[in-house]
Amino acid sequence: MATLTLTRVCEKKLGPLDLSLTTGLYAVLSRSEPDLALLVELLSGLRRPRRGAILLGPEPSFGVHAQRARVAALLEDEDPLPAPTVRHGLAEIGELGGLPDDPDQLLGRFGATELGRRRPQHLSPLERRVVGLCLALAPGDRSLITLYDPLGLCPPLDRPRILEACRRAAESAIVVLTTTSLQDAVALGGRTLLLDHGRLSTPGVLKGAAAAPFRLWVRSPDARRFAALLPSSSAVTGVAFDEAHGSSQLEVRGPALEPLANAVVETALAHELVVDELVPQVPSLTQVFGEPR
Amino acid sequence: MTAASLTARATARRLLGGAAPAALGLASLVALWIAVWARRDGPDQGADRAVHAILGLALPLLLLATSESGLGRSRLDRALRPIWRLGADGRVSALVATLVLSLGAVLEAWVLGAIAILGTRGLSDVALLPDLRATLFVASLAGIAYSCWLVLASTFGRRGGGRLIFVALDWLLGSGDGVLSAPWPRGHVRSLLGGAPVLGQAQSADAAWLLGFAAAALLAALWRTSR
Repeated sequence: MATLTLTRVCEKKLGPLDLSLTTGLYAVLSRSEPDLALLVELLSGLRRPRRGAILLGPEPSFGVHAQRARVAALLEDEDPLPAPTVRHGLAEIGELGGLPDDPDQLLGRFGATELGRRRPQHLSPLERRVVGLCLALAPGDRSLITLYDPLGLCPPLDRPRILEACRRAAESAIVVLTTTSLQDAVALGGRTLLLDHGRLSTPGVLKGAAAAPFRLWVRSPDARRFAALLPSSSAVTGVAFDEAHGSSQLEVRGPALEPLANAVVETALAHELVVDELVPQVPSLTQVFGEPR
Repeated sequence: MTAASLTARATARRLLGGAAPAALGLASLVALWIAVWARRDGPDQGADRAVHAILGLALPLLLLATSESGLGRSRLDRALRPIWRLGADGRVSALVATLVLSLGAVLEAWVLGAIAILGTRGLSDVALLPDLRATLFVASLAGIAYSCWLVLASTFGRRGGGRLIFVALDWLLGSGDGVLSAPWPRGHVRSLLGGAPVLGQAQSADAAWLLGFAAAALLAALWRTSR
């Protein structure tokens, strides 16, 4: 089992960070993108922390070059390997790092095959990150995979494919994903760490306002029937009428927005109910972190 | 495929695919213009003037453009990050990149040196070959020294802005012949080309100083890339 240990790690506005992770999927949620980018660089061993130690297994992640071969990362800003084409560059990386897939398969897993023909220097920053994600989530003997905002690549990439690949990778490695979106943190479905004002919380399930963070307003003449039928759905944790709109508007709550909307639509189709409007309400990070200081 | 060969390929591709070939073309035209202009002073004095102007002024600027291109207009660690991430030894990668940049620098210095001598002396001059040999020797030393210094300078600044500062300091401090000019390549290159000696030393000592400081700069660059 892989282990990642941070002991009194300090860097710029981060820290001190103390943390111990084992194989599994973790989402780090923060409202600061620079803090998350810095955290990914630290975890992946590309930056030496000013103070403290980051150990992957028994050895430090920074300075031991053999360790970096066991770490895959998607950074905020990806630098491509200079090569005639992306496919060519990936093939060379494969020869060095022993990637099991050929470049087309590697890109094809996320529907990015067409990028293989392009020159790496001509890719946009987003396209570079797409290639970086394909490489980071390639099958291989990795102990740690750390990804900066992977769901920020959707579109053009397919969200369920990324989530599935992350979950599969988390069966044998520590997978740390960062996001500034509460919805993404919930969708990732692992244990969530909050990075607030440079401090990391211990891994856990989102609590308080974030435990059932998504609300869907259903405007319908059949709101009363929805209120009776929806609580039986596993995607729904609560139903209430909106006092201001009488019995024509229903507030439906649940841990994820998409299943919530699916439940409403399926109920409407199954019972021939009319829906005038569906209005999602995604809670802000303020509900999790409080007001910015 | 090893990490060293991947680094060498990546650096060479950046060099050839970036601004370095265009910079060499432009520097060659400037060098040719200087050589034709210096020819008015006669072959001996003209060759001296042309070589001083070309290797003393044009070469450092060309090598600045070369190192910018070879390191992708970024810091040394950032330029090598795609390879380090694969588990390569950072110091070996930095050393290989420096070797490739030095090779490119020496070839460019030879081109400029050859243009300076051929342009001023012409093909029929009896002093052509000995002068060409001496100039290419100094050009080789200058190419190696500047590329090592520029690699060290590339470890400073967010995007390797230390390179520009190095060239400015080399130009300002290296123009003298006192203690302050001793570390900089410019003074020693000038002395090797027959100009004012640095600290009153013999030319043989200049070559040793030039290579010694270049080696120190390379070691410092490798020390700073502690990965």
